[in-house]
Amino acid sequence: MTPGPEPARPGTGEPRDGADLAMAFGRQAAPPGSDEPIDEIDLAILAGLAGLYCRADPVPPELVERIQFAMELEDLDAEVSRLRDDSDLAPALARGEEQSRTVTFDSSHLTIMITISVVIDDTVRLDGWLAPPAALRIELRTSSGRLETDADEQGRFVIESVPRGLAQLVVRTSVDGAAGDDRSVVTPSIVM
Amino acid sequence: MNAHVAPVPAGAQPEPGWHTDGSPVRRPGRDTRAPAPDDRRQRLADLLRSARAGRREDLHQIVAELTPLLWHVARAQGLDAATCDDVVQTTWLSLLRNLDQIRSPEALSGWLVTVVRREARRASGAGIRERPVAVDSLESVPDDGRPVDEALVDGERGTALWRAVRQLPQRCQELLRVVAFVDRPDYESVAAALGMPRGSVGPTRGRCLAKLRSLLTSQPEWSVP
Repeated sequence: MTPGPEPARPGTGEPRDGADLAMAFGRQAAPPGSDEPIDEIDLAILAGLAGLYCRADPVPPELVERIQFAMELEDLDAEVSRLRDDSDLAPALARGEEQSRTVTFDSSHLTIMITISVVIDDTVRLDGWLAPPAALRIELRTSSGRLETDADEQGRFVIESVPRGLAQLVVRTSVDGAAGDDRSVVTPSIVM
Repeated sequence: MNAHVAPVPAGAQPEPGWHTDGSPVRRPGRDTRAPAPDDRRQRLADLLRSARAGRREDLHQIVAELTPLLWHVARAQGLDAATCDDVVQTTWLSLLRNLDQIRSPEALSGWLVTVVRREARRASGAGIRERPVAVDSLESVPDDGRPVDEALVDGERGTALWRAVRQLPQRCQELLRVVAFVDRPDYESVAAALGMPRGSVGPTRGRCLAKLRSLLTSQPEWSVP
């Protein structure tokens, strides 16, 4: 079986670490039993390892839910933007302690920066900037529906009365939704 | 979270479900000695088919099934939990554009593992971050909270297994951590996605597993159940 098509982005000269590993092992004798068929003891060891890692480093609670929310997206051909690593990540973790935070998402041709502020009525206000500036259609998918607005010529947009909870931004790069070379850009889901 | 590799008690029939009850072999062309993973493969194949036809709830089911694998692939790359969270989600979102090209569970897990590693490397900045492996890691608690919480490894057998696995080369640790979350029919495609030579995990025990096994046999606390 092949591992499917190459991922969308061309690799950046990823080293062939498997070859390195094979070479590293090639310099020493293989451990006894390497060529034996996998047996029940091996399976028990692997099951033990799975249990050990499940307990010691579990999948974060609600990660699956956040992913499923993000994958409800209708625009299947959108480009996925990545959270910039200097963003203030702690989404739900420090809730209540901070009143606003700024998050940046990068894609190949568009950067989306948003500042998320909690307002008095316990909804969220979202101030956004697009770079390069462009008057594009902005959608915010939330757990209770979709909010829409347009960025202005400076690439700025504001969405108010956003319910707390999961949300995901979709930036339509062709304003009228017509098919074009530019794809929409989506963000991972974040916790407002 | 279910155990992805069903433990087979020692002394059981080496080919359970094959000789004793005469149940029909589902896929004669495949390794059919472990019926449970094969059933799971069939279920994933069905889910994949309907997800590709547009049924989102089946796609959600696939996400629930395979996120643990991707989580451990990302974490084995040495990234902190928050970054892995983002990397795993980005990987799944990227799948949406590629779903129609992926036709089997093996191709799916191979694709996902390839992409999650690439995303993890991108997130880590300057490519591979090799970490020196402490010989006795049970005493050397990591300084940045990145690796697993060793305090949660309990029981003598768990401790023995942990001690042994931490003595393996870093890449063996990564491989076995990932393989532990892979269904048996998927070993080869995942090994390929990890850059391992094909056949190094599937039909043969493989060097990493053999090394771990030889380390374990020297530990009195470890005994096969």
